[in-house]
Amino acid sequence: MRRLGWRTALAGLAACCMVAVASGTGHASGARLSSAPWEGEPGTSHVPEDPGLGEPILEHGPDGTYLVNADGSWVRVQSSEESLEQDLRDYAKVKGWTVEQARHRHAESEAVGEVAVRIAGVRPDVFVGSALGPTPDEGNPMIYIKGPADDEIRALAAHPTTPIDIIDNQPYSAAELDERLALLMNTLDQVGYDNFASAYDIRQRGRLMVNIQMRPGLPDDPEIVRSLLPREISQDIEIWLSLEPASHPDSAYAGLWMGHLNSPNPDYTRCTSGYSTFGRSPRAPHISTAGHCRLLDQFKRFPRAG
Amino acid sequence: MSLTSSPAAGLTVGVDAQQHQTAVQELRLFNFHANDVREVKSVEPEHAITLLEEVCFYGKATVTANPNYTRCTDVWFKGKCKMPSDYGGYIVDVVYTVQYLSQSGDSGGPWFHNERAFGITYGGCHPTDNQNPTWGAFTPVDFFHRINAGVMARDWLVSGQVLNAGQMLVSEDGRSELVMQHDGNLVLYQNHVPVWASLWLGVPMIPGTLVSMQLDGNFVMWNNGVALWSTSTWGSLGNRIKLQSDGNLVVFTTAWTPLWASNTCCI
Repeated sequence: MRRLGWRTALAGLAACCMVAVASGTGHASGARLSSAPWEGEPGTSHVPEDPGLGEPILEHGPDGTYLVNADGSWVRVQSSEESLEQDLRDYAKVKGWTVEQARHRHAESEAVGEVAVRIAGVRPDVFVGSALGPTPDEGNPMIYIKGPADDEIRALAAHPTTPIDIIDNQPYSAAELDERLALLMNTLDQVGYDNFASAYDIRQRGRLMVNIQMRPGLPDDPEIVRSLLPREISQDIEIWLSLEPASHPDSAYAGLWMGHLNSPNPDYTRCTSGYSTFGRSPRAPHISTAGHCRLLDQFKRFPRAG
Repeated sequence: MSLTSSPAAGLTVGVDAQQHQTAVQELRLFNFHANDVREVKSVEPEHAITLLEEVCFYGKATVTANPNYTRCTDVWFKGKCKMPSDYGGYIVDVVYTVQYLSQSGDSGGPWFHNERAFGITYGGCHPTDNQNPTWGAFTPVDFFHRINAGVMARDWLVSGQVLNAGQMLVSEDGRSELVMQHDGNLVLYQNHVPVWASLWLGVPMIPGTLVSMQLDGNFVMWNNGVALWSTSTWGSLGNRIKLQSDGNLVVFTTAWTPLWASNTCCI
């Protein structure tokens, strides 16, 4: 494996851009000013905030990009093309579809997601949500709108490549549905139930649903529970009660499940790391995990060990 | 765990997420398998999460137990889950998935599609009849702003993040770049052609200039403590700036309401 030096690749990138703008800033027309080739894939290099922290580095080579740890171990960074194809293959396999059907589905979800963000940003008062049809061959992607869709909504919902159906005259916006759920959950919490989960279904006009684990001394009849709810949510809701928990987080207690976990108790259930994050200090690197994972000060983390 | 209030209802709803400072420099990467990583090129906005949309998952425990596990499923409903009291008893926002793919030890693991971050694993949560308890749940990463955090992705800056000289944003499709150049010019390229530059707005080029997405919502170019230019978008905590695939550079609120744009759309 021949790999290029990461810092070399970065230097090439910076030099490219400096040249381009130094010669181009006087030309507001934006005419093409530079055709300098990019070395490596643009954007995959990341400048550490503090070189002293920069043990793991990215190195680019003709056969891909690699993350190299301080101890010399390395993992391959999957390319954009590979990652999309793998997910499409996996998803098609799960669904029993062809890869081309999965690709079509992906294009639909990209289009309707783009439209949803546009409408939610400009018209949050009427945005409800979005949905795909049950299969790639059944119906267009859908945007749900509170009340009648006006011309502005129809213009915002237009997509250049993917037809999107507007399902309007819905009773609640997304924000209102969220408030209804919050009201439901807090009411049940105040009643004294300890384990329950709720959702709304935009395809059924925002109908609420809740599943509650029964608790001694509290009602186990859905109709009695219904009578305890505020009037604005009590009539349009499905209620289930069960002996089984409705909510069970996947883990608690102890540190991230990492390659070199340093936990005081190996029997503790562990967690998985999520994404690299920024806190309030842009110079401080962070890693995310679930909030219910505890004793995270016990972990010792090695870069990208899982 | 971070708790936030829903102002309209006066109710308390949390986010099942936390972040911890690490001793090593983090890169914008996530595990999609035990020994394979991907770059985070974008983050799925909350409102873009679509019913029956495809989404995939990684969890250390699951992949250890079964390397050939099923990785992908569909997004189902949006909802809220009450964590049992021995987990803190919080009510948290979640997105349900059609299948419950994760298991104990997977909490916090990434949900994604392609190179886009969707969420992190909560676990099992069933808002309907327990006779069919197949639904999983994840916490959307778009909610991380509630814990004063943001996922590192190459196409956006969240509050508190900075582009120093030599750093850049790159749109998800790779065709647009916003570069904070060493010469002090902030330049937006489309297909390597400059289409917007701070110098064109009359901002002086001073080496060492950086640009910051500030906590107050303003996107500001700074040099030695002197503000050189800004988008004048202060007053909205948690704003983020995103370089879109259409070539437009846009400042959004946390609800994705656009506040400022470079008007360099569309390529």
